[in-house]
Amino acid sequence: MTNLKDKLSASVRQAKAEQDQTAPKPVAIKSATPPAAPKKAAPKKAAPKKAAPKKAAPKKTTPKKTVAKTVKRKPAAPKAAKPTASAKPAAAKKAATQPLASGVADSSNALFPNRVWPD
Amino acid sequence: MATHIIAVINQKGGAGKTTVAMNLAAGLARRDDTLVLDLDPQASSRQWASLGSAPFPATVKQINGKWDAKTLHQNYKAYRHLVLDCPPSLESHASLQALRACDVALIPVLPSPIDLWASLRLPGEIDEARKTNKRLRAFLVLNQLEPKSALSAAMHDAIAEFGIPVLETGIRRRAIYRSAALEGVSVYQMGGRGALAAAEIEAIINEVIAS
Ligand SMILES: Nc1ncnc2c1ncn2[C@@H]1O[C@H](COP(=O)(O)OP(=O)(O)OP(=O)(O)O)[C@@H](O)[C@H]1O
Ligand SMILES: [Mg+2]
Repeated sequence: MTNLKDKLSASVRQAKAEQDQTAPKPVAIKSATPPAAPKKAAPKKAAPKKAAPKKAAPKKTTPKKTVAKTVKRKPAAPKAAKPTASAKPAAAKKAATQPLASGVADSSNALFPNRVWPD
Repeated sequence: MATHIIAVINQKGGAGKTTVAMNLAAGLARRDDTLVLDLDPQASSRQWASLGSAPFPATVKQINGKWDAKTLHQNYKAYRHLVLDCPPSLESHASLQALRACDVALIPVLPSPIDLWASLRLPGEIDEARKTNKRLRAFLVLNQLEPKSALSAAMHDAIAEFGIPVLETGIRRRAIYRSAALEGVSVYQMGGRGALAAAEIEAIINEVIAS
């Protein structure tokens, strides 16, 4: 287990180091300096991508008004506003009839009942 | 009171952004008026909300085009909480603006090395966003944890390498999260079967809001 932890942490550190060398600098806000030349030949990616679009501070644009696709419910709608965990809307009832987890309160492993990932 | 904005973000696809965003919003909607902004062209949140036989507890809108923090605050000030469901990309206008507009960046990460590696650009982007968004706080939240998996257990240490605080509460892998999406509801509306999942979401809300 400790071994696994160490391995995982080390892999993250290594991935970070590699990305620091090869990945584009954080987008936006004056990424003035070009990425440092990679020390060791890095796979492919080496060519620094074109600095991503500088859209940090777009000028005052109004959003596209979100037109088309709003899914119902106004902010003030009073009813159905506070569903409780015990509430049983039709949807829940329907779901309860599915074999997957019927009558099982904790469905956490319902999809993969016996599956245990090996160390 | 100013609108509180939570961006659920990770450039890695399938990390659970939409699942977290929608359930979080449902939990927040029990407290105050809440809006989910679906910033992803995949439109999963909007699709999800359209499936229910009853309205989803939070309003869900999809926005395209250009916007910034100011326009969000102007246009949605009627809502106490805004939850931004970001697309799986850090290059998009939506993700960059989300980081510059939000109070909290919530980053779901799956307990898998590949997902960790693929999320490593986030800390840099968050630092960058903080140059203009001083109030930005960021939290990682482990998603799809499997109690019996040694890898899940090993995650907490590895994830510390990100230098971003990790929420105490992890989200377990539960079929109910998927069933709820199919029913167009949140885990709060799934009755007893959703209770444990709803408790997880509540704990996350409390951690994020109390912090
Ligand atoms: N805790 C969980 N337990 C079980 N299934 C989950 C859980 N979280 C997410 N899922 C499932 O994993 C898949 C990916 O989740 P989701 O769509 O929320 O990720 P995403 O980050 O929004 O993806 P994308 O990057 O494509 O937008 C979905 O099928 C979802 O139902
Ligand atoms: Mg999504």
